[in-house]
Amino acid sequence: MTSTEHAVAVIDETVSAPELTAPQVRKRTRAHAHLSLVAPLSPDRASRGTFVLIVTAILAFALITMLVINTSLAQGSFTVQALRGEFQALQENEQALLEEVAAASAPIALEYRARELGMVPSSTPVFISVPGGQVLGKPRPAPGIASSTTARIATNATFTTDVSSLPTTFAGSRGIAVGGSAPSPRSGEDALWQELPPRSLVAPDQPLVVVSDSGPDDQLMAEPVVD
Amino acid sequence: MILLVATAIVLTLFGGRLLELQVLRGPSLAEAALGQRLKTTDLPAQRGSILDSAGDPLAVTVEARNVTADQTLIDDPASTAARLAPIVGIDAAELTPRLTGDRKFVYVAKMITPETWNRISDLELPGIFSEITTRRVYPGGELAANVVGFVGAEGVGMGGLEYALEKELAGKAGNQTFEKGPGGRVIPTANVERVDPEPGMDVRLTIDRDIQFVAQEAIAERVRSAQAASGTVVVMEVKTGRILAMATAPTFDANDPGSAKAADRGNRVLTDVFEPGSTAKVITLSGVVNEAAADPYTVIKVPPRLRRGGEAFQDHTPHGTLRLTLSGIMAQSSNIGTILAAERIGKYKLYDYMKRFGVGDDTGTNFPAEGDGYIPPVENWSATSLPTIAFGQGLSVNAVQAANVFATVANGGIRQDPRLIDAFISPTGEVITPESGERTRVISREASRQVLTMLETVVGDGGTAPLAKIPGYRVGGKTGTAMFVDPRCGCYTRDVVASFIGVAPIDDPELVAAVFVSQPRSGRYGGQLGGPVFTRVMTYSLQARQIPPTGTRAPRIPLTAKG
Repeated sequence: MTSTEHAVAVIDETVSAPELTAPQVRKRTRAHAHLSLVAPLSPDRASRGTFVLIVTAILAFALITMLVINTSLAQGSFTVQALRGEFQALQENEQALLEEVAAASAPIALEYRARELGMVPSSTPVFISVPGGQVLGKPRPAPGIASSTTARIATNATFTTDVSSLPTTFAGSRGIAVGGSAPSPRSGEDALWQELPPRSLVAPDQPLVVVSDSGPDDQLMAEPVVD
Repeated sequence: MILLVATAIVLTLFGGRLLELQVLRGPSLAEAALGQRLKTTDLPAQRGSILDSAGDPLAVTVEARNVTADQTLIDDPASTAARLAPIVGIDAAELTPRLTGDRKFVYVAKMITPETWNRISDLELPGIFSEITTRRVYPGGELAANVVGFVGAEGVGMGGLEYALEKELAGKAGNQTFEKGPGGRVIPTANVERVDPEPGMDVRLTIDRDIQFVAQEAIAERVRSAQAASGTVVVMEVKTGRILAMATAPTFDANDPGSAKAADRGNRVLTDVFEPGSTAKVITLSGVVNEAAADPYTVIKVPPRLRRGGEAFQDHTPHGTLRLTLSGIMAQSSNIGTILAAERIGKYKLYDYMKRFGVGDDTGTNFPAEGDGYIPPVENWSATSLPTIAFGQGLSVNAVQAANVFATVANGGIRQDPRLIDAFISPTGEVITPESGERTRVISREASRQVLTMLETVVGDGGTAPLAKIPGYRVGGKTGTAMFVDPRCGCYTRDVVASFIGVAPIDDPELVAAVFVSQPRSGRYGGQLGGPVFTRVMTYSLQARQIPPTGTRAPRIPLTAKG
């Protein structure tokens, strides 16, 4: 222990030395003769208490922070899982709906629906050229429509439609198809037909539903044809 | 003192064990622990869709669930089975054994819809789990099934384009490795490795699903009414070579390929080859006209019989000596007239034209199991080869090749490869168009025009196919009634392949439709069996493609010469 005390004393001297002004140096040099022991430094009780407090605080802060971060990460993981589940459910729902749409818009479903509405396939494609209103093709009533209806369809669709009033966007590169499947009103369904403006027959962007028919041509087979 | 020694011994033992666990076996134990937490799951790649020309789906992949069970967690298999049975649609008696035992993982049902799984999940049955998988759905069912093909239980293409384009459609599966806590939750701070799956490409076909549908309906009905073995229809766009429809009957439901006969799952349009019969006269007469050996008005004296190479050739209807024009030979499909015309150009030129029109050459569609057809090399021709080949016997083609002959004539004499795939669409939306094949001139534009004029006489009143008329339109075509070659014996049978291949509008060709009816029991001739199907399909196609009539009148072309 004594050596430490000496060392402290020496260190004290050495450390202080550069800070001394010239006259002090001279004074010290004189005092050098009376070298004596210095009492050991007593630990400062107050500052040690502060130190412990600070360390504890840091530790506690670190622990709490860790806890908060971990909790929030775990919470995040739960949220992610919940959201994933929701996403999955929504995706599945979307797919189920898309599948439904695909099935409903398949040609066979459309044909069925069209027939339900009383539509029949057209046997003669007829076009109106725009501008000019020239009728291309031979308009002919579709087989299977009552004659009065046929007359009305023919009148509406082919002859009295004011072609020049049609928006030009309706014109395809070559003309407008009007030979599409025409609705044939059945009992009590007349209202439906009247609600449809003649123009609705001639939207060329919509695929016209032409469906199976036994075909008048099969009945025309009176004479055997040879090859 | 004893206590001190005992403590020292115990501490030494502890220390030794610590050393062993932490230092000696440390790394391997840590790895094993990680192994317990680590889980790698496959991330399946989304299979590309197959779309029609307008982008409507013909085949799509949707999410599905496999129902799995941990048998050790199921206390009462019978009641679990009874509750599951009505939802999954499997008999309870069949389900019970799958739920009984001590296996920790068994499949209960595969590929059910997410909706169905939700209903099962709501029952909260212990030991019943699900895994996410995908299911291939064909919204149209039979629609273009023979073209699109189908996939097997593992979702891998087994037929048609699903098989041929497996590489493009499948994409690349990825995987995900993560550390999971109890309950399968991902441990947030741990390492996660993820290799994203690469989705497959979408494939857009040239098929127009509406035309395809009408073609399928029409041919199915014809096969039924004619009690035929099978039938096919091809619709092609003349100027682009795009195939708008490839229909065959009988067909199958792509959603349930297992219940169909193998023969009905293939695409006869490309796989079946047959003798073209009289439709091949178009090649012969195109050659004759292109070589300027005759024109539509050239009169040829047609005797009732013609001897060549020791065989006597006749026409389908007995007649005396006729003076037919080349148009008349086409219109009435005279074998003898065609032989005499072919002899004007000789066998080498005839063979050359057959090859240039694509006989025996693959179509370039790269369809699996495509039949290329066959024509014997001209060196091997016998004395009867030229006469028979001139009218379509002794060579074979598939339906697309036969249709493409007419498309070539209609396209001003320029042949191009038929196209079935319009484009590939990458997951990023990039559109990749396959190279179009080469275009070769086979006959001159003028020859093409003359042959088309002759084809128009076939549907005229003196022709073999008056039933193929379309009111308001000028159309033309050629009938064929070829002898059916039984593939088992390679011999002729009493059966025939009746066909009609037509072009519309004939003076500005846009579409070709070809109809083939194989081995009909009721009816026999191409004009009679194929004609009405052609009319129906072509009438619809003209509307769907918005092709108006040209408004011109057919010229009057004499079929016979007076005197």
